[in-house]
This record gives sequence, structure tokens and C-alpha cells, in this order.
Amino acid sequence: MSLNWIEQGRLKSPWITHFDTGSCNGCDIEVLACLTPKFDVERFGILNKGNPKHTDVFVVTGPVTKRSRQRLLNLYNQAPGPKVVIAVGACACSGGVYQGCYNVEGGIDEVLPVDVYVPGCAAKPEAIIDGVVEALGKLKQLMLEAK
Amino acid sequence: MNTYASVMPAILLILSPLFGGILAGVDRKITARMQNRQGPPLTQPFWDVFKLWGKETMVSSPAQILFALGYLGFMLLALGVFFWGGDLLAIVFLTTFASVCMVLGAFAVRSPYAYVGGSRELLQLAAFEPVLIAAVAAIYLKTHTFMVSGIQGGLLPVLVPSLLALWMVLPIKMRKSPFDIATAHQEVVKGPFTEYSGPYYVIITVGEWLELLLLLLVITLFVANPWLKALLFVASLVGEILIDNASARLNWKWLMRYSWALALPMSVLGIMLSSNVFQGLINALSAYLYIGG
Repeated sequence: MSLNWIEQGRLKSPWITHFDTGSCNGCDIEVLACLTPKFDVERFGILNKGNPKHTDVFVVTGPVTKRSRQRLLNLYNQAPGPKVVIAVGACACSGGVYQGCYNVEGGIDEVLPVDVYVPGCAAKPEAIIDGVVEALGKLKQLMLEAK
Repeated sequence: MNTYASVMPAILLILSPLFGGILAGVDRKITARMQNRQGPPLTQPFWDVFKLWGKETMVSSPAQILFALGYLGFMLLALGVFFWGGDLLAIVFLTTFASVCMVLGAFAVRSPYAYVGGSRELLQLAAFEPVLIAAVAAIYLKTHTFMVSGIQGGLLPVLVPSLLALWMVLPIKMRKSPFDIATAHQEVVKGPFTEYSGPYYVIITVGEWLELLLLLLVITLFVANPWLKALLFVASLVGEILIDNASARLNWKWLMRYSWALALPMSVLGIMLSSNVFQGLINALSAYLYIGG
């Protein structure tokens, strides 16, 4: 039972959209560092598209502030399926240092269905790449199960 | 020989998206190597296309699908005219129709990013088209034919300004730095292509591949020798990628100044050289001096 070309394409060409829901930008810098020549995720076919309509993987950082909640949902609904959400950083996973604060929802899983959690403050680029690979593995699993 | 001549253009046309994709892959690989990194495999654009084809379809407005198909259709037609050795002016107008279709597709959706991208794409069109038409006119004046099959090269020593002008506007047409304001990444999201997703974005992507292929093929018309044609093709591609990596984005005022004040006079100079305007002036001047002296 193997994957057809479209499904292989989904694994070989994951386009990401990175969204910051109120993070201190530490994790954002690490996400962008993945795109630099040192870590070079483009060799896996990963492109940083700022357009939710062109995206497969949402890389979200930050504890979701009340204002960014609606924007995050808006972006998520605009993305055509199949799509994967990766929560990068301690704030995105569970609220981090802002857990319990009045102005944040506390982690992205309050708002979106998260597939992979990448802990760290800030998460290392290697960990982020590992997270993307894990998300792709999960996608592959889902596609194989659907057959 | 007859069947070969009639079948070969059809085969070339059918294979052109394939070759266009490989070209796009080469583009990304060379860009990556220039930036001191590995880069995606050469077949990456095809995997992108397969993935996009399998996406859920979300349409902002049905009209934009029609315009996307128009863009691809006119590009295919233009390539077809080229492969069948047809009229170069028809090729120019067909690519213009294709670009206008793309702009109409951008305006068909109520999206501010697409609107700004569409307006900027019109500016790029206005910057690029006069230079191309002047270059084609210069070719006509030199060879007395518009037909691609009739232009057998040999244009080069005289029409160097036209070739230079085409090289100067190649980044404008290909929407690469320093003239990529239409699709300024994350400034206007994706410009005119913002609202396309999934299978409809495949149509746009394949159209872009064909646009690059056609433009590079038109540039190879300047020489006759097949090896020189290949060299010109590769040199234009590599040169464009080099300029893309070495420059930052310029705004629309610089785009217009660059194109209308630099590239257009260069192209007009090509016309003057090809139509022997200078020769006529020199003749008139020497006749005057002779008579006067």
C-alpha cells in the first residue's frame, strides 16, 4: 500500500505559514532561522509562504492573546485542507510564562486543533525542524490509514 | 521529413510544461547554491504542483478561475505559435493578453492585496511591453520578417542594443528582484496570485513556467548557431538569477524610470541601428561635407 503522486507531493512539499499570536518573537526568530542557509529547510521543499491560502503547515507561536484569537481562527479557516498545526514554543504549547494571565487564552490548543507541540523557550531550530518532520510523519500515517 | 516537421512542434508544445518545471527547479537550485545552501531537488516544482492539485478547493470568486485559465491558455497559444514558427508580433500580443488575464483575475476578487498586486502588475506590464515591441520592430527592420521560422539569427552585431534592452527588462517580466513589487512577498502577500489556492494555483504556476520558457526562447532568436542559442539561453537564466540574488526590491517609480529612461532608449537605439538610420545620417553628413568641401 503506497502513496500516489499527490500524497507523496504532500510529504515532499509542505508550505508553511508562520503566525505570531502575541509571542515575544524569540520563537519567531528561531522559525525564521530555519530558513537561513545554516539550517536550510528549503531542501525539504519547505517554503515560507505568508499566504494562508497557499499553506499546508501552520507554525504558530505565542500564547493566544484575546485579539489575535479571531485572526488565528480566520487564517486557519482560510487554509484549504489537508493542513497541520505546529505549536512552537512554551507559550504556544501551554501559555508558558503567561499561563493564567487575564489577556491570553493560554496555548494554541484552546483555539485550534494542534498536531505537534514543540517545547522550548525559545525552541531551537533543530527542534522546530524535528517538529515539522514529525507533523509530516503524522500526515503520512493519516493518509495510509485512509487507504 | 514532412511528418517530422509537423509533429515536432506538437511534441514540443506538449512537453513544454515539463521543461518549464525543470527550468523552475534549476532556478531554485542555482538560487540556493548562490546563497551557500543545498536547495530543493530539481523536481521540486513538480511535487509542489502534485500537492496543490490535491488540495481542497476554495474559490473566492468563480471569475478568477476563468482568468487563470485564460492566462495559461494564452501562454500555451503563444508557445504554440513560437514552435510552429509563426508571427513574433502575435507571440508578443498573446503574452500581453495572458498578463492582462492575470491582472483581471486579480481584480476579480475583493481582496486589497490582490487589488494592489494587480495594479502593480499593470505597471510592470507598462514597463515591459514597449521595450519588447521595440525589440521586435528592430528584428523586423533587420530581417524583413516577423516569422520565427524566417529569423535565422545573425542579428547580433547590429542588434546588440536590442538584446541588452531585453536582458534589462527580463527581471521585470519574470517578477524577480529588483522588480518584483507585484508579488512582493509578505508585503502584498502574493500580489495578484493571493486569492488562488489549490488546483487553481497550479494553473497559475504552470503559466509562470511557460512565461519564463517563452521569454528565454525569444532571446535565443538573436543567434543562429544551436550551440550559441543554448549558451544564450543558459547565460540569460543564470544572469537573471544572479541579479535576483544580488539586488533588493525597488519601488514602482524606480521601475518606471529604469524601464522608460534606460531600457526603452536602448531598444529604440536597436531600431535605429537596424533601420540604418545612422548609416543614412552618416551618408547625408558625408555628402554635405563633400559638397561643402
